[in-house]
Order: sequence, then structure tokens, then C-alpha cells
Amino acid sequence: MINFILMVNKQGQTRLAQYFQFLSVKERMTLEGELIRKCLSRSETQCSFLEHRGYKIIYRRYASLYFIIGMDLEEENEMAYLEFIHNLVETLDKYFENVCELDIMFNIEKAHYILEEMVMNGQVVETNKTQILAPIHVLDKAKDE
Amino acid sequence: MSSGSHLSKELHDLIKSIGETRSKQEEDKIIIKEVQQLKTKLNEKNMPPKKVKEMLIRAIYIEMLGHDASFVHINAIHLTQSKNLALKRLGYLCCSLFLDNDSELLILLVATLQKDLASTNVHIVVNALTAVGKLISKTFVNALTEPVLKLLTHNTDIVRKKALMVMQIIRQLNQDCITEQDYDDRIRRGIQDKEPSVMGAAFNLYHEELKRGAVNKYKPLTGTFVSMLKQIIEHKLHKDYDYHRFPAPWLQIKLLQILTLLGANDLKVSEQIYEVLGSTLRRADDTTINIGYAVTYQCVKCISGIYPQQSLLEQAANSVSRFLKSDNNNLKYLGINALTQIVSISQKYVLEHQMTIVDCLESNDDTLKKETLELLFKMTNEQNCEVIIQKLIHFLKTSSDANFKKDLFVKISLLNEKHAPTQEWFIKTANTLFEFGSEFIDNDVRNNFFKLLIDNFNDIGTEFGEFITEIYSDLLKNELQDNILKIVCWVIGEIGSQIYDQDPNKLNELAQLVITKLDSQLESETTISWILTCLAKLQSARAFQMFDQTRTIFQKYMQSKNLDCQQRAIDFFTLAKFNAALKGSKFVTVDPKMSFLDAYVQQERQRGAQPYNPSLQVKAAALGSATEAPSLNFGPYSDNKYGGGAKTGTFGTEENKTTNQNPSAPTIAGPWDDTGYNQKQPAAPKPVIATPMAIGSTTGMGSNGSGQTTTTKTAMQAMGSGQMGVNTNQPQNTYIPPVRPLPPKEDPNLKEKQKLANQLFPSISQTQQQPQQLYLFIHQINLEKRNFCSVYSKTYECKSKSNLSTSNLLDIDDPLSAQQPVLGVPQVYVQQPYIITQQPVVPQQQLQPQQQWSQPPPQQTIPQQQIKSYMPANINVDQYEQLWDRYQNVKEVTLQSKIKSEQDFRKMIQAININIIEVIEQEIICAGANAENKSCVLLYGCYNLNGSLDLKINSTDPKDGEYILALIKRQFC
Repeated sequence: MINFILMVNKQGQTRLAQYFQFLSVKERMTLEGELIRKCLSRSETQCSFLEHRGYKIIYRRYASLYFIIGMDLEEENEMAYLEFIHNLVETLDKYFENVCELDIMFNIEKAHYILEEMVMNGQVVETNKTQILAPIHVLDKAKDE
Repeated sequence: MSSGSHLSKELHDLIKSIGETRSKQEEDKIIIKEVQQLKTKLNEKNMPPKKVKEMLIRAIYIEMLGHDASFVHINAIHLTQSKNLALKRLGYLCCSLFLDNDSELLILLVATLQKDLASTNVHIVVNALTAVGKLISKTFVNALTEPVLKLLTHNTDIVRKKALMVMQIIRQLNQDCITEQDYDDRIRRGIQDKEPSVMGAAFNLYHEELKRGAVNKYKPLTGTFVSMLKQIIEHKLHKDYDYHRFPAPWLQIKLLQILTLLGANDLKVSEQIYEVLGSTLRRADDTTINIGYAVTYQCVKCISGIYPQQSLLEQAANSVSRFLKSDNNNLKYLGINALTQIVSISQKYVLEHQMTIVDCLESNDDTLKKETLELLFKMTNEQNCEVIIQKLIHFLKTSSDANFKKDLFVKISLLNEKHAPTQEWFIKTANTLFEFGSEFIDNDVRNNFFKLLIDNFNDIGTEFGEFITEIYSDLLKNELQDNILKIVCWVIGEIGSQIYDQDPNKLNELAQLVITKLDSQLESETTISWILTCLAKLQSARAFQMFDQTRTIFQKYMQSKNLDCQQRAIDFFTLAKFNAALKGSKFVTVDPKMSFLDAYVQQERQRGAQPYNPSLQVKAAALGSATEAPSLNFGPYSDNKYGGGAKTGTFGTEENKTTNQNPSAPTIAGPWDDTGYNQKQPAAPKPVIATPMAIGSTTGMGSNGSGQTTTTKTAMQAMGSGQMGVNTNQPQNTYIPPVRPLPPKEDPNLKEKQKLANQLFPSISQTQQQPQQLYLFIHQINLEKRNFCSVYSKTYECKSKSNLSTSNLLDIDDPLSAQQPVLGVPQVYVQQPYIITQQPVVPQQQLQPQQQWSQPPPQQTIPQQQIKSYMPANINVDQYEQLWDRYQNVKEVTLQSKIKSEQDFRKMIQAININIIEVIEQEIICAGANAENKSCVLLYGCYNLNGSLDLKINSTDPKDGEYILALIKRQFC
């Protein structure tokens, strides 16, 4: 299962973090720091997978923002999750129209909602963008009322 | 949208300033200030909802950036009661981000959640389900089960989808909330849902159930899954589900994972899968996008996971080639992993990629390197093990990653024990391993190593003893880490003192060497204890009569502040003082028959205890003495009383019944099999107890519990003996394939790489199998996959080898005919004409396992008369292995049983009335014999916590195996 999904920028600042298993604030900070250092130390040509503290880590960089997924070691298909990250980014892009780091910062709760629609209980439940965004659009309308 | 214009100026500025910081310190400063402001603002009354919302968003930032915002948690809970949908959802989001599943605050949410789940507004229901999915915990799972299950039939698809996922969590938290039947029904309705998104969610539930081991239950659904996959790849789903024009790739992958688990080791199920698997792979292979590769990779995993099929394997191997030839490291990574999967079926596919593998080993990408090492580990055999171990040790030396090193350490020791070509090589490799991985040496590692050494010493004798004493005394001349020094001390003390007990000069020399280490810098005082014990052992070899220097040292340590050292010193003098008395005194008489127990035994028997039936042990002991082996000599065996047993070689001969009162008959024995004593065997293990130092170790010299007691035979022997020597048991009918041209690549290091490649791979080319032989190997593969690290893997390996050398290839041209012995088809056993309720043929007392001679009989789970005539066979692990090799009737099945613990397993074995020989974690090996015709039954079982039970039964007579399986199925499944 997926244990966490992070968005961390090149400076090591967390922009979004969703954990599917509880870690204390302190543990999260350490983990996120270690992970971004590891990701930064890897070159473009090296592969996007690594192991860290008993997690299988899959990461992908978009401009200055790293998307990082931490999974159980026995999870099988790294490439599928690498593409899942891309699907997430495409979904964010569809919603925000040309998504950038600031979009996520100013609308952090929306980014969380989108993730919540895609992943439940550490498993991928939805990859269809229309289905993912439908409930979010409902929320947007509710706010306008 | 990135203007943030929808936010208040305050929040906007905060986020902007966080975004502009360039260091953690700056960020912390802003957040600390923010926490202060937020605390004061919270006290304001009647805040407008928008303000509350922004406060919570700030709190999200505070916690995300590593600070405490627990003072806002209660506000988040309040917000969930809001009438506004967006605010409600934010409230739930904050709760799930802030609160731990054990948090007491969660109780406050239960009522709100219940209300929202029952709402008529579908959006509120969706919000609540999302929240329940993240917040539900054991304490209130009951309160929410009912409303969630109701929603499974809701008329909105997103509600049904989420309800399914929540149901999965509910079941994970508390199995009792939903019955298994109910759960199965509901997920079945899930995959039958007309909405693909609900169906996709249900796949997750099936996959998890299958991973938990409930495979048989879902096998009938294979057809459904296959047709779903077929529809997906044929673009039958709405194109919204496409990803880069590829139809629902994640659903395809999930389905492939499900099918892999369903088809594993099952030809019938696999046959249903082959076709769709082939077309899925073809379609995925046609693409050049990442997601296509992901599906291809999953197909390869599926092909190597289910019952193998030749043309699919070829197809998979082609795809893997494409991955490996790519310049993209992600694809190479997939390729190496996929190859690791395929190697377990046939090693021939590695050959083509030898240069790529060598390249990956040299890669600057750690992840890729690790995966390649994994591949090497799986393809190690006798021929290439030296090169591979060298390579692995090289990485152990150079790596700085502790987890990785630990993994390497374990792998190297396993390979070394399994494949080392010579004793010398084994010891040297072990020493290098200990040197560079000294931080991983714990008591277990040490004890295992000692056991290996002592077993070999017992088997081979003086020559080996001199050899290792030499190696280890040489080591003493260098600086040593404490962990290694302990090992050296043990070897010299235990083995050196036995080898040179007639040579005072040599003993003195060894003692001198050890003494020098007392003055060196030691990391801990426990090491001194090890040194002292070593010296004591050396002293004891000559009855404590020499070395004044040692005496002085022990006198010094009598004053030591370290209690352990002091105790050892005192023990030393006590032993020295009484040594003479212990050795030759008339005061100590050993009563080998233990007649002092007679009264007690009599008393117990009058109370109804079962009499001791030693016939089997006596038989074994008799055989042991017949080989002139240096066996345990307590007296009663030397008088040739039981020697006659060797001729008959059957169980329970009448002549032995007179020896009922002799409990000390050990289970050591020489050659033994179902037809009796028929072969000259290597010397039976020689117990070490007779050596002088044993006195020391039983009277407290090994009192620190660090495992210095003398070694006895245990399961580790299965690893040690036999595996350390050169294995000459190679298949005879190997064939050498045409030499493949190497890639025409200009590389300055090409020659070196080729050399390495040749070292790594020649053996594969020699032992490579013909396609037809593949089916023979499937059995081996399945075993190896499961038992790769198992102590017993050797047993099966030998089995497979013998299988290979005796089978005629022509007989198995048709793959269908070859699968018969591998598959356990359950119906067969039901039709067997055996009558379970038949009366036992042998007298009841003979059915009792021998261990019970002084105990009341254990509670049996099955009435005695149901057990057919089996009796325990008391053999040891070595004999078990030899017998396993000899019998050709392996039955292998995986059952879903009630067995979830060792206790249950023992009950089962007791019910069959055979004998447990060895238990290692979840693996148990047992042996028994048919009381009627004395044919032998060997059983190997591995139970998993989910109740699935892997059984392998080997027997002289195939009917026995079937009978026992039927018995187990009837009673325990």
C-alpha cells in the first residue's frame, strides 16, 4: 500500500504531505528531510526508485517540485506508481489550469481533496480525471452559494 | 489561478512569505510568529466562517512545516458540523491530517459521521465516507459499520465506490464486524457493478484478500476477471478511463496482479489466463509510453508467477530484452527485476544479457546495483558462487548504507553456507565477511557459525580441527575487532584444546597468543570473559596442570570488578581443584541405566502413564554402533546387546522390548532408511560432551548466556554438513548451448567485463535446460521461490536434481503429462478407498510418540480409533534429507487450513501419529512409518498465519502420502 504522498520543493520545503499511516510531526519532518536530500542527490539519468527506511520510494520532479510516494516494499509495480504521479499532476493541471507550485500553496486544501479522491486506504481507487474532479467541482459550487 | 485572490490578505501574505523563504530557519521564524498570532485570535468570539476556514488552513501549514498546532484541533472538529459543504469537508480534512487514529477527540466525531452517512444529500454522504476512510479506528468501528454497509447499495456510483473501500478498512480493523460470507457477497456485487469505477475499487479488495492467502475460494472467479481484462484491453470502457490513449492501465495492472495470485501453481486456472495474458502483453508492448511499460512489466511478472507456458515465456523474455537494452535506467530497473522473476523459471534467459548485467553492476546508480545484486543472488550456483560472493563482499566493503549492508551480510552468509566450494574457502569467506560486517555479528550469527564448525569438525575430524585452529591462531597476530576476537577465542578454546590435548607445547603457544589479547584495547569487558573461557578450556585439556602464567592471570581476575570475569576466575580454580576428583574419582559413579528413577517410573505407570517404548531408538543406536562410529559412549551400547537389530532393519522388532526402562537411548544413528541398514555411511556425529571442557561449560563457565556451551546437533546441521563440501551431485545430462556472440560494443574495459561475465555465467550455460525439461523444473522453482532462504532448501534441491538425472526427457514431451505429479488435485483423495475409521493395527502403546514416556499422554484432537496405523519414525535431520533424496513420491499441496500456530500444527502431527523432527519458525519436518508395511513417510509443512498450509509429503509408497493428505484435509481444513 501507499504509506505517504509528498510534494517537496528543491529547497526541501514541504508543500503538501498526506500520510496513510500515522507518523508524529517530528517523524514526518525527519523523513521528509532525508527523502528530499536523497532525491536531490540523484541525477536525471538515475532511476526514479529507491529504498529508504523500509519504504519503497518513487519520485518524479516537475520544475522545482518533487512528487514523492512512499510504499510498502512488497508493492510490485514501480512504473505504475511513477505514472500515477504523472496522472496526479495532470489532474491538478486540469483543475488549476497550468498548475504551479503556488497554486498548490494557495489551494492546499483542494490539492488534498484531489488526492483523497484518488487514493483511499493507501490504494489507488480512481484514475479517471472526470470522476476525480466531479466532487471537487461540487464543493466549489457549494462555496459560492 | 495562482493569484490567491480568493484568500484574505493576511493568509495570502503568510503563504507568500513562506513561499519566499530560502532556508528552514527563516521558515521556522515565520511559523513561530504565526502560532502566537493564531493562539490569540482563537479567543475571538463569533468568528465568521470564512475566518475559521483560513485559521484551519494556517494550522495545516503549521503542522506540515513541523510545528504543533494542537490548540486548533477542537476547532476542526467543530467545523465538521457546519452546514456549508465546503467548510464541512475542510473540517474533516483537518481532522484526518491532524488527528492520530488513537486520538480521544475522534469520539466527538462519531455522532457527526453517523448523521452525515445517513444524510439524504449525496455530497454530504461522500464527504463523510471520505472522512470515515481516514479516521475510523478500532474503538468505534462498530458504530459506523451498519451505516457504511447500507451505502453499498446507494444509487450513486461514487458512494458505492467509497463505501466498498471503507468496508475493506472495517474488515481490516475488526474481522467480526462483517462475516466472511457477507464480505464475499458484497465484493462480488462490487465487481459486478455497472460502473467501472466501483468495479475498479472492488479489485483492490479482491487483491488484498488474495494476498492474505484466500486463493482457493476465489479461483472460480478467474473467468470473470479474465473477461474483464479482455474487455478493458479491447477499449470497451469509456474513454475517460484511458490514460494517454491506453485503456484503464491501472485496472489492467490490478487485474494482472489478481490473476497472478489465482494462477500460481495451478495449471487449470493458468490455462484460462494464457490467452488474455498474451494479448494484453502484445498490446502493451506495442506502445512506447511509460504506462505501457508498466503493464508489460506486470504481464511479465504474471507470466513468471503462474504455471509456466513456453510461448508466453519467450514473449516475456523478449519484452525484458527491450527493457534491458534501453538507455533509460527506469526501464533497466524494470528489466533487471523482471529478469530476476524469469530466472527462477529458467536461467537460460540470463545468458543473452550477461553484459548488461555486468554494466548494471558497475552502474553509478545504487538502486539499479541493488536490484542487480538481488538477481545475482538468485542465480548463484556452485560454479559461479566464488565470483558472485567476491562481488557481494566488494559491495559490503564499499557501501555505507546500513540496511543494504545488513541485507548483503545475510545474503553472503547464506550463499557461503550453501555453495562454498571448499572448507578452506568457506572459512576464509566467513572471516572476510565477519571482518567487514562485524557490526552484524550477533549471538545468532555466532552460534550458527559455531554449530557449522563443530559439526564439520565432528564429521571430518582432526585434519579440519588443525586447519581451523591454524587459521584462527594466525588471525590472533593481527589487530582484531572484539566480535571477531570472540569467535577466535571460541574456536581455539573449543577445537584447539581438543586437537592438541596431547601436545602441551602447542597448547602453551595458543595460550600465549590469546593472552596477548588481554592487554590490547578491547571494546567491552565481555570480550575478556570470552578470553578467560578460552584459556580455561586450554587449561582443562591437560587437567589444569600447567601454565603458571595463566594461573597468575586468573588470580588477577579473581579481584576483577567485573562480576562475570571474577566468577569465571573463581570457577576456574574450583574446577582445577576438583579436576582430579572429577576425572578419576570413585566417588562419582555414573549410573547409565538411571535405576534411581525406577521407583518413580513405576509409580507413574501405576498412575496410568504410558510405558516408554524405545524400540525405535534402540534400533537406531544399534545401527550407529555397527558403523564403528565414535558415538556417545555411556556404557550400555557397548555391550552389543542391541547389535542384532542391524540385520532386520525394521521398526519395532520384538527383541528390543526388554529394554523398556532405558530412557537414555539417543537418536543418533548411522545409515537408516525404510529398507534398513544398507549403505556405508560417514561417521555418525560425535557428541562433544566427553571432552574435558564440557565439565567447565556445564558448571558455569558459559554462564553469561553468550552461547559458549557445547554445540549439539540441531536444524543448523542441515545447513552445515553436506553443504560445505563440494557438491558433486550435478545433473548428468547437461548440454552446452552454442556460444552467443557478445554485443559489438567498443569499450576499453570490455575484456575485463567479459571475463567477469564469463565467470558469472558459464555455469548457467552448462546447466541450462532444454525447453522440455522446463516442466521438470517447475517443481523446483516453486519450492525455491518459497524456500529460498529456508534451511531446508537443500533437501528439495537434491530432490529436483535426482529427478532430473533419472527422468527420461522423451517421456515428458507433452507438457500436460508432466504436470501430473506436481499438482495436487483434491478430488482424488476423496475417492480413495481408505477407511479412516479402521482400527489401528499396532497396539495402542506403540502409537505413542516416544517423548511421552514420562509424561501423561497429551490431549488428542482426534479419537484414537480414527487414526490409521502410523507410528513415529525417530530419525534426525540428516537422515531425513537422505531419505528424501531416495524417495520419488513427492506430493505437494497448498491447503487452506485451520492451522495458524505451531501448537495447531503439533496437534495435527499428533493426530496422524508421526514424529516431529525439527521446527524452525513456521516450518516443520516430521517423519513416520506405516505400521503395516513399515514404509516410510516424510512430511514437510509450512503454515502461514492466514491459515494456508504448504505441505510436501514424500513416501516410499505414494499411497501413504495420499492417505495422510486426505486425513489432514478431512480433519484440519
